[in-house]
Formats: sequence, structure tokens, C-alpha cells
Amino acid sequence: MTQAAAMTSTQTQAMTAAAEVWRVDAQEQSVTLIESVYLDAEALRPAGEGGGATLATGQGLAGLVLARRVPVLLNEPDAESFERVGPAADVGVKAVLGLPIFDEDKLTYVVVLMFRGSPGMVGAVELWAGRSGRFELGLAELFHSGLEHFAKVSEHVNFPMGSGLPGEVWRDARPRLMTGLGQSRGFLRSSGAETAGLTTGFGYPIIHRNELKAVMLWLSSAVSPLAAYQAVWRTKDGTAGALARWCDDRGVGLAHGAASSEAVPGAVLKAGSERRPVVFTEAGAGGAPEDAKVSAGLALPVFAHEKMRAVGVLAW
Amino acid sequence: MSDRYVEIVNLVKAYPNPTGDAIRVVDGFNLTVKKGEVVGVIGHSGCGKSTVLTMVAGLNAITSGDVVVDGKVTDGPGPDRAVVFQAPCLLPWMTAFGNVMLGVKRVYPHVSKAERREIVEYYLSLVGLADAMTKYPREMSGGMQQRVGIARAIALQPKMLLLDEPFGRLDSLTRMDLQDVILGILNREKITTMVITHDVDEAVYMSDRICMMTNGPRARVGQVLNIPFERPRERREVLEHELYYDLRGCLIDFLEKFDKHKHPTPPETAAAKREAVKAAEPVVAGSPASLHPSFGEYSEDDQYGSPLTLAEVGGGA
Repeated sequence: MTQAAAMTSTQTQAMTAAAEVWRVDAQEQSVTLIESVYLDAEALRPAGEGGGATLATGQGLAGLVLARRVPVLLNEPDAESFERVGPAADVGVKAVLGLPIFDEDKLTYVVVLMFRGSPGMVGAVELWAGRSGRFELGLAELFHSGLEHFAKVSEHVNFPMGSGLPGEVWRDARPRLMTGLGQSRGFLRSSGAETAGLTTGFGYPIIHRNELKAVMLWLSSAVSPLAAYQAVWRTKDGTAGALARWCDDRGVGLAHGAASSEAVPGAVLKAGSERRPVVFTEAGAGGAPEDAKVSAGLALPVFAHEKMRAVGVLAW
Repeated sequence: MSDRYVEIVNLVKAYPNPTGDAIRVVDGFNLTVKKGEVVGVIGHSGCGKSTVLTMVAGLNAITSGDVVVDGKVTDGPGPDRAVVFQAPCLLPWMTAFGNVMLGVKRVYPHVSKAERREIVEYYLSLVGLADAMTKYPREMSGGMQQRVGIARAIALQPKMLLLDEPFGRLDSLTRMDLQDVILGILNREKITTMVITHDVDEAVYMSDRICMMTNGPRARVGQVLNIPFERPRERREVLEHELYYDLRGCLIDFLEKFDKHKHPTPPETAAAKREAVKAAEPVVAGSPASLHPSFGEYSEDDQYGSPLTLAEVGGGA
């Protein structure tokens, strides 16, 4: 390992602190925590897991997502909107994100992610949504660390369908991964990304039937990535059996001409076959190579027009 | 009143190609403009900016797509969309007054002669030509002629004003002067406007939103930038605004990204694209080179059906 690589590895600190999957009950009146992972942040684990931590509509972050049926991104959340403010502050959590997962008509799951932020960390979580009177995506909510200038300009930018990372996610109705953000022609804010040190962007659509609710972007730097490994698995016929790795942040997948005979890793297959987000805690379950040194992750399926479209993987 | 006063929907301009598929100069241009909004359109030379404008004006046949103004799909040119070109194109045998009166007669056939005269005089005064109404084009400078062109367009009281590089032939002082003349009129008349320009500073100063076009062929809207400066605008205040250089930089970054000389157009077919990626950056998992393949701009071939509609949140952008 070179000195530079060694320094990078010792300085790398994941911004993601926790991932949770909450199941929505059949009446869509409450959510129950079914899976979670806490990354050096066990204090965030809610009381009652296993017995089933449950929140009613409007209660806590997952309950708020259930009530609103849109993604909720909160910077410096207060006790009213986030039930674990104290432990979150103790482990350096600066923002929390609640994602609704729809399957056909129903809101079936809520995914909660928590993010650290500190002066040494560089990264952003952006929520892009449609604005009144426009057929464009604009920045609706933003959490960033160390990206003041990049964030300032981003607030004024809008993307039509097919343009920029948010517009491509919208057009494809699938997660999308971009690496080399600083040089990418597909990432239209590349100059700002290069200056800020952003390297990888992961876009994920929130879709309800045939309507795009929002596009989430995770923008990572090398020093404090939001995920140590990211990948997109796609299926052409809507079945889990047809899932194939489209791309990952190592440049592996069909997008680069790889063979499609690769076995589908467990968490990706589970997310596709059970039609739900899956938190996994085995290193290989998300398909990451050994050198990614991940121990846990999240497999996020996407449904549109009543079919499964893809599974995105974020691993830590 | 709908928020979407002007809607340009999936606008396509294709020209026949005797040796293959039609060449799509503009391919899927989408833009929504609110009433009274000024939208700047910027992009490299030849990208199709003027093609879009002339299609919106009805002067250039649309291959497919629609232009909707105030709820009505347009069909050919009409006085609801007035155009100012780079060259004013005045009739040389008519005075400034006569040139403006030409359009006024057509649009106001039922008003009295005196009222038509008042309209012409009013709009020529608005552009600062109250004392030059009887001059012929040969007696006027380029800037004065362009003022007549602007008065002629605005006197039609159009629903939409289309400006195609209206200051392109003027010196910088005259240019700034006319920018202020137009902004003054737009502040007063609240005309929904599309202005094509090459000039980044002009775009920022004049526009409420700036639509950045990708390079042609197959040009479309790449990105839209909101300009948060209040109206009426003072040039000095705009230049001193804390966001001015950030917004300007955003436009320049976009134009540099699509600079053909710096970034040759990538190969067309998906297979060729993948080959190009593979050739440029051999993929070896874990190697430093494999961490930076930029495949974001390459699209997959398959389609999943109709595009997603868009949920709307929040207020105006």
C-alpha cells in the first residue's frame, strides 16, 4: 500500500451512521422496525427492536414519512420530528432521511438513514423534486458537509428529464451511479464537484406507480464516502431471477461489457424476490468485492409501472 | 391563470438525410415559462438555439412536439409571438414611424387612425425614439434601428416576445443601453420573453431563468439556472450581488463541458460507447483506473414504457 493510499484509508470515515427498514402495516397506520444496522453508533438502536419498535402515523421520522408519503430529509432534526435526537447528537448525526418505498399503490416500507457531518467530512445528500408549474427537478432539500459553495449554486439549478444525474434517474426510472464526477460529462455540476472533492454520485428514484415523487442523490468524496461500495442491479423482465449487475463503483458490470452469468448476491436477490428493502450484515451479501471491506449494507428495490426495475446497493 | 403560460413540449426539428436517418438538430426540447418571465437561452454556436426560437415563432416547421401559448397550441406565425432578430430588417423606404405602423395596422384594424398613431408614438417613445420618428433607416445608427425593431415588436402587444441575439451587432455601450431599454419595457409591460444570447453576462443580467442547451445535433435543454435577482434590476447591484460570479461560473462551466473542441462528441451507438469506455479505461477491479470510469452519460438501450409523470412539491422554483 502506498503512503498516500495508507493515509487515505486511515482518514476515511463513512458519513452514514445507520440504516433501518420499517414495515408499514396493512392499514397504513403504523410502521414497525424490522431490520437495522448501526455503524459505530449502537446508541441509535431504538428500544423495542425484535419486540418491534413501532411508530404511529406522524410519530417520529418513519411515522412522518408514512403520513406525508414523500421523502423527508431533516437537517439538525428536533425531538418532535425525530424520536432519537439525544443519541443522534451523541454520535455526531447531523441529518436524517426517511424514504418511502412504494409497491404499486401501497406504501410498503420506510427506509431511514442517518448521516454524520463534521468539518473534515465532505459529502451531500440531496432531494430533488418537481416544482409547481415546471416539468423539471429542483433541489427541495439538502444535507451537506464541507460543500458550502457547491450547495449554494446547486439551489439555483434545475434539471429536465434526461439531463444531469437527477434527470437521468427520472428518465430511466432506475438507480444510477456516476463515478469520476469531476470529469463526467453526465454530471453537469462537475466543475463544482471537482473543486469540492466529490467523486461518486448515486441517484435513486422514489416512484409511486407511474409518478416520480423525488430523486435522492448521495454525493460522496474519497475522504468520507456515504457508502464504501455502491452498485446498481437491473432486471429487464421485472423478476428477481433476471437481475444482473449493471454497474458498480469499481467499473464492474454490464455497462462495461461484463458477462451476465454472474450469480445474484443474497441481499439483492432477497430485495427483488420479496419486493422490499433489505439491510444485510454479511460482507458478501451485497456483491461487494473483498477489497471494499464492507460489513453491512442496504439493498433498495425500485418499482415502476407495477414491475421491479432494479435494486440499488449501498454498503459500508 | 395557469403557471405554465408557455409550454414547449418535446420539440423536435429533423432534416432529411439522403444517406440515412433524418438528422435531428433539436431533439426533445422541453421548457415551461411562466407569465411575465424572461428566459435566456444559451449554448454554443450551431447548437440549435435559433432553430428553437424560430419554431416557437412559427417561422420554422416543427417536426414533432408542440408549442402552447396561453393554453393554445400554436400553428404557424402570429401576432401573439413577436420576434426581434439580430438585424432589425426595417423597410428602407419607410420612416421609423411607418415601420412600426405596419404591424400596428394589422393588429389593431378596428381602432381609429388617431388611436393607432398614439400606439406607435407611445412605443417609439418607450425605446427612446420620440425625436426620431420621421427618420429613415439610412439616417439612423444600428442601435437606433434595433430600437425601432423592438418598438415594432412590442407595439403588437404580443403574448410572447422572442429576441434572437438582438444585440449581436452592436458595440458594447449601445448593447448595455439597449439591454436596459428592454428590461425597462419588460418591467412595465410584463411580456413573457425568450432571449437567445451568446453572452453569459447578458443572460444573467436579463433573465429570470437561463436555459442551457446541449450541443447539436440532438440538442435539448441540459440544465436550467434560476436567477434570484429581484426586478427591477440595476446593473451595478447585479454585478455586486454575492451570487453573481457563482451563477456566471455555473454557465461557463456548462459551456466548457460542451465545448466541442475540448470534448469531442462521444460515439453514437451503445456498443461503440461501451467499447470506447473499455478501450479508454481498462477495467481491473480494485485498480485506481477502475474507480473512475465515467459511464454516467451512456444510456441503456431498453425502454420501460411511458415516461414517469412528475409529482409537484413546494412553491415556484
